[in-house]
Amino acid sequence: MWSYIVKRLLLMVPTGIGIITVFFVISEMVPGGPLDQVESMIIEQANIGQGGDGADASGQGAQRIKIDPQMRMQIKRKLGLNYNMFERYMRSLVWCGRDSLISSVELDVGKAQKITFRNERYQVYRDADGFHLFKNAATVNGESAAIRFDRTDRHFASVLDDTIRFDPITGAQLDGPSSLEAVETELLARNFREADYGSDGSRITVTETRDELYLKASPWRTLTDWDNWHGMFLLKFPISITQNKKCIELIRDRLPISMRLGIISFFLTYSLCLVMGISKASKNGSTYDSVTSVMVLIGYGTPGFVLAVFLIRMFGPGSDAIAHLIPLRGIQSPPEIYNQLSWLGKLWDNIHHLIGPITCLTIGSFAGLTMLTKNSVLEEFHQLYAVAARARGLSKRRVLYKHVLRNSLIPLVTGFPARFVMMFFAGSLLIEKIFSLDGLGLLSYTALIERDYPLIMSNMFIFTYIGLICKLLSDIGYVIVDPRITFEGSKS
Amino acid sequence: MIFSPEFRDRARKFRKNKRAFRSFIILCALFAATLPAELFFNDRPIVIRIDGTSYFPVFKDYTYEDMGGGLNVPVSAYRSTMFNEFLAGKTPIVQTAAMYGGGTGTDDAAPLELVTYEQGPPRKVWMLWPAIPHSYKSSPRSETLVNQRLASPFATTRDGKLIPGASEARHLLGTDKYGKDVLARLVYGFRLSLLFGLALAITSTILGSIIGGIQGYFGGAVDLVGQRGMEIWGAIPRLMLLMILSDFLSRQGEFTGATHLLMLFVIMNLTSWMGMAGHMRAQFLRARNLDYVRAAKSLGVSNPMIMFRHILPNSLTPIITFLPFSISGAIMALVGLDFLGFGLKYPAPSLGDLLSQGQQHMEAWWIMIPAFVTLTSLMILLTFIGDGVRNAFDPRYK
Repeated sequence: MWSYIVKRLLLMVPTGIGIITVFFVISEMVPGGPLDQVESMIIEQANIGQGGDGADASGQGAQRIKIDPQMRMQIKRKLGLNYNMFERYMRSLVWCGRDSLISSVELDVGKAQKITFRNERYQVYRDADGFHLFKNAATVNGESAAIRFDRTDRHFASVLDDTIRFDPITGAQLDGPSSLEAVETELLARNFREADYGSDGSRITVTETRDELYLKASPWRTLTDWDNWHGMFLLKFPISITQNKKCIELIRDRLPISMRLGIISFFLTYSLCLVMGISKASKNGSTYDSVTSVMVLIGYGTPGFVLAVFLIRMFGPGSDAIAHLIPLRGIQSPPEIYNQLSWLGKLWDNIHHLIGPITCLTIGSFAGLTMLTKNSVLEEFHQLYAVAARARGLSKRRVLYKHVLRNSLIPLVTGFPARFVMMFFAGSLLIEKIFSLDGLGLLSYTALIERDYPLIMSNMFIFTYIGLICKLLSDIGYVIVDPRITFEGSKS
Repeated sequence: MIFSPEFRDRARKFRKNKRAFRSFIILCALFAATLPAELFFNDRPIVIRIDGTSYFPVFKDYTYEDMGGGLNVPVSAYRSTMFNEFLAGKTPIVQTAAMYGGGTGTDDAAPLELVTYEQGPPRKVWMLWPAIPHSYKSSPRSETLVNQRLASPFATTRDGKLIPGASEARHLLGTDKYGKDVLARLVYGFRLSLLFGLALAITSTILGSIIGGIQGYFGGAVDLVGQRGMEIWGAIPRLMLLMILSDFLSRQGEFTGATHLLMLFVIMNLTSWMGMAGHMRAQFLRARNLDYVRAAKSLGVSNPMIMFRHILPNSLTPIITFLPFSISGAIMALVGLDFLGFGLKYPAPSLGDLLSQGQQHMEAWWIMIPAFVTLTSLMILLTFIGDGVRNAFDPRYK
């Protein structure tokens, strides 16, 4: 048993590698690669955003929007394109390597130089007095040195140790090169391989910023720092391109809505199917049995998203709907309305918004479970112990509820854990899109529309693993509930 | 293939299941009725007889030259003024280059002033038109275009203005947002969906049988590797994978019409064989240890021969049981993709596109309700058939 579980868990590793590989190949195959896609998307959006009045007097409004090298570099960094293909691939699996700390350097002649670090928590300004370090300094000019610097940050501390000393309180430079030119040479020589001067000579854009200092650091220090580890196998998910947040956070934010849908439809399906299956079994062959059979089959046949479109049209808020029973979109009323409701009103508001999606999500799932319940109850009814109980004069009801029921629920219970977990993520992409429910399905859809590759990949990875774990859980469920089943013979 | 008595017995059992058998008959009838859709829904006459010679525009594209003189210009619209002039005896002889490139449809192919006619005696003409003079791609005449968009069935006015030619337009189910006939799109879409589903079910059954068969028959390392591969491929959410591939496809190059449909078919094949492969693997895995296979092996029969001639005919149950469900699965995948805009390109008749138009334009009940009814009844019929087949063929459901 344990060896079986371990074996299954180990087999999940190649599966995960395979999925990432497949997706990596697909996203690399896209003409122009992800970079071109993202750039053209940004240009498109900028053009739409600008509208008609955005066009300059020169009349070249649409063509004027260009991605400057600095922006390109930032996109590249987000996509991880500053690494070679192998490292990029390994970074989505497992990888240990230091990232460059510096994400951009701007130099305005005669003013302060601004260095932005990768985590964007620090900025270094340089002026005639030397370096000034600021934490979270978004609107800093050279003088406002009041923001404290957190010396305990490992990244910065290690840069600091090797380059220039700053005063931990004021951020003023303590030692190191003092003249402007010397500092510039030093910075360029030590931190950046290649630098680009703008045509007006006023700006430095660093195109290759692998931090030399970091390469010099000891391997042990690199390995022991958890921040240097990357890859989805370590549950370190990339940053979404479009939403500028970690993918895992985006997924976490959407989870409650998907979970709400899932849990409700889970309990609804199970309770209805149990009741219907048992009653169908006890009235086997009756009109009730055949009518409900047809009904669950019709439900099974009806595609959920097609029904969703129909429901919104016929029972939604539209002007010529038959009845106004369900709202058009969302999981709750807009907050300005929702917050004014009493708790009863809030409850009703939630139910009201859930009727449509839940109907469409569950409509297809009754057939399988109901027939499973019915068949297994019937099967148990024909077992010797049930026949014997009947022969001894117990009523059919009594045999059903006291003896048969518990045994016949075995096949249902085994699917329970897997289904329960699966339901958290069950929100169908199509139904969530139609009802505009901001769940995981819609997240995947928008990610796909916006070609947010890191987000799609993280989504797929998480979905896949949840699916695999659910499968394992349901297999384990079989063994726990029914000791007759073993896995040892299941090889052939 | 001669059917075994067992198979005939099961077929009889299926026929006895009234619900399933009737659904099967209805579906076959609907399919047979929509198969010659070109003859009933078309913007070209079925037969046109000009001065004693017959032409069949539904089946063949003609030029004016073919039809008795004039320019070597294809007749693109049989309701156009130019064609009417031609029938009245005027033969077009000179035209400018601008005339070329008129698409199909009832729209005039070119402005009349660009054509020079040669007046002759009126031609003797006899035409047989289809019942509904629209195909799925016929666009309305240009002067009516704006009004014909999203016109309800038999609409004669729009915003207080008379729709020109509305009464003879015969849009029994109105028009969609590009002014195309909904009923024609529905019928063509139904046929396309069913054909697509059938073809996909067949190819994926073949693919699945081959892959599953090889895995099950050879077992061991082949099976283990195959299982992992299937796990990886199957773990990726199907719709998402199809969307990614379709998105990739649409940016890969300019595929249009039939080529695009074919490419869509190919990418759908990539995912649809999985279910079948699982079943066939189980069948072959079981069969390879049975006596008849061992006997064949010991006689030196080659592996492909054993698989194809001996095991496969004994493993038809999952193929037949699975078929209706794999058809419905294929159709729903296509409809879902179309609905999300990742499927067929617009002029192609697609039920998913009609459904999404019905969702976008809530006021257009004549789009949404027919699309909903068609799709749902198609799916329910397939479910009934599938249920009946499973009851008849699967020994576990006896």
